[in-house]
Amino acid sequence: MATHSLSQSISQPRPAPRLGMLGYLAIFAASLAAVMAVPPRVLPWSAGLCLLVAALVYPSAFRRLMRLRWLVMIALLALPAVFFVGEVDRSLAGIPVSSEGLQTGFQIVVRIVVVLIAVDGLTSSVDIASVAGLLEKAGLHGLGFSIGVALNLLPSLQQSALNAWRSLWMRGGLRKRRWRSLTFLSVTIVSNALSRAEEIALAAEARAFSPQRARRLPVVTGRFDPLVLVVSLIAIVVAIMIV
Amino acid sequence: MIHIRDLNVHYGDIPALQDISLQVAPGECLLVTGPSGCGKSTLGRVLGGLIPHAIPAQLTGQVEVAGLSLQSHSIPEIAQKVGMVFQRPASQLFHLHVEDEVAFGPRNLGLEEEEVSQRVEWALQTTGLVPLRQARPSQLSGGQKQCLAIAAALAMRPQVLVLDEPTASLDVPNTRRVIDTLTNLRAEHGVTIILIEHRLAEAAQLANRVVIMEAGRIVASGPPQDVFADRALRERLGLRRPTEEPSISWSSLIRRNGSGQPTEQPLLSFEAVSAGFNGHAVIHEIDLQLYPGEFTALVGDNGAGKSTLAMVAAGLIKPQSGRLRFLDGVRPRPGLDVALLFQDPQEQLFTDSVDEEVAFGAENYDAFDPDTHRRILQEADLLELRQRRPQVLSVGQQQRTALASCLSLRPRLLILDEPTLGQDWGHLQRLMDYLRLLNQMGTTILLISHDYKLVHHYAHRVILLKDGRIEQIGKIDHSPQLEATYETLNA
Repeated sequence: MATHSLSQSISQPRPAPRLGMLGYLAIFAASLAAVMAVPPRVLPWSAGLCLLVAALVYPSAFRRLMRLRWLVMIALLALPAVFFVGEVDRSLAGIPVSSEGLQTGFQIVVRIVVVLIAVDGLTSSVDIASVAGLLEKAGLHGLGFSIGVALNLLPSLQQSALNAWRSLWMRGGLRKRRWRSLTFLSVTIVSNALSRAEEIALAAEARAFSPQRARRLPVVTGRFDPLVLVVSLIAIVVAIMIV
Repeated sequence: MIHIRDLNVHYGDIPALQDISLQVAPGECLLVTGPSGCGKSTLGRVLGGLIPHAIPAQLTGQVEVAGLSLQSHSIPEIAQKVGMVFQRPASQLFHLHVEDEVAFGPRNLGLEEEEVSQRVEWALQTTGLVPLRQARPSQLSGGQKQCLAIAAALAMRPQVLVLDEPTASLDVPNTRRVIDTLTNLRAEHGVTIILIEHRLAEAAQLANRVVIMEAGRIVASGPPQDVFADRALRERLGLRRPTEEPSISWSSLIRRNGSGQPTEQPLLSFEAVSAGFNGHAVIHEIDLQLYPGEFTALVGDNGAGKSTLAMVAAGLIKPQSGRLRFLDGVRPRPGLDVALLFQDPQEQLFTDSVDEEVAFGAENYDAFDPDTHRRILQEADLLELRQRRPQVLSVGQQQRTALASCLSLRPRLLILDEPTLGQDWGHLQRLMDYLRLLNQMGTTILLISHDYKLVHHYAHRVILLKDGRIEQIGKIDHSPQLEATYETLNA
């Protein structure tokens, strides 16, 4: 029998965090309701409130929003409204635009920004183990594990697909027999993905995982979760009532 | 601790293990080695209960671990006695945090959260990962990932730990880290270790008994020094004699006088090249020339930027800054000027037959010539396999197929990214001899490797990369003192 010195290394219980999974989920739901359900006249206030809460709870989400791809996406979604909605009635830096279009474009930008920050805040704050725990508790056995595996498998599959494409590229790419080459590429990517999935399944089984049996996964709870839950619920009800 | 009697395993009609009988005492460290495809991994999977419970295979005979008959018990029951660590850390880590990864197994056993926490704490302490408990597994180094895989297995409190080539993709410092962890496990906690390895120099230090397998059978068993002393056996199975780990560094391989750079026009030049992924530079300000006909080794620890440099050299990723020039001053054309052999040859093979695989590139460029095609197949020893599906070949055969498919376009520069991965010394030596032949016929070779002996034996020049920058470049030191260190290379 192996002599494991467990008793020597009992961990100290860590203090509960300020916010747990339910708290983050509540803020996320309230943010969505506050910008998607409210009428345009209230939008600046509700969006401002959401951004204030986001700045307090997950400030790093603002920094991540400043990536070029997000800014380009926001511009692509908002700019058409500026030029194509309503009658042209004013000029902005010499460009003819409509007041109605500007207003619509502004609303689109505000809503996208709040939604993106809420999604980023939730995904960066909530641990997948907590999501898995909640799903397992809800009776969806194995789904939490599957989500975790999928999230971790994606970068590896992306790399494998990229390598398959690079290999094809080194041999002339889609220069000739394009359909056949594309078929080869697709089959390679799928078979590599299946092979990785099989490896993970084996590793999980070797650690006693069974999709049929529920696991005792902890759902992280925070000290302020009940308060945040109540406030968020009120915010959602108010947003719906305003409509 | 382990009793195996008359074990036979078949995958369909193909025998994988034949008449295996083996006893392992508690606390023993058994090294299992042999050429690729000899059945080592199958034996490991039997000990972990994956065969026959999770992998379809026919098993006969008796296998007992810690008093548990593996055929009649389920994997969760076996998992509490036997921990498994696989070759690729990426395939066994699937949580966002180190702590959750280690807790996965105990939670599957339905233990109370307090017991789970205690086990996690112990496993993290034993493997030295406590400071990294909140880190993401994807951010760990290769050695840390492998230690995490060991910790995840340990948290099940196994009495036996089976490790299938745990150091295959690791550099020397990371390999030492893993071996140190195993040494500590055995000494302080009495865990029985079954170590399946090709890298014998490191593994032989840890093992007190070695078993050599060939074609599914045990052909030798005993203390490492006795078994490896049999030169005829080593030569027949293509095993490299494990020597005392030479206390050298990459720097000591490089001759001190002069840079070793020829004066002729370079084949490929890097001019202050920085490159990486997602806007993040992995290699910085690289100034480097590769010359026609050279056999150069690119070395450095895990994460030094070797593979990124190879991708840039092959024209597969664009430099973020600086210039890359091929002979005529433009960027190299991927495949035509520079070809790259990936670490995992399976990612490079996609057609239905070896024949089609090797012909694909040449046909795509309207440069197919039946005579050249046949010669390449012959040189790569693939003529007899030309109608086989590349996906079902052995790793060594897949590697030769991927190499032949690169060579069909006759690139001037051939880059090999860690061709040693998962290969036994016999296969590797044949591959390297073929590369040397290609080199003598004019192909420039850039070899990425962690293997001191391989680099010392085959390369003319070494480029040492550290943290994305060139630390040192120079010719291989063939001084008598260093030669003596490597005299057993082909012994």
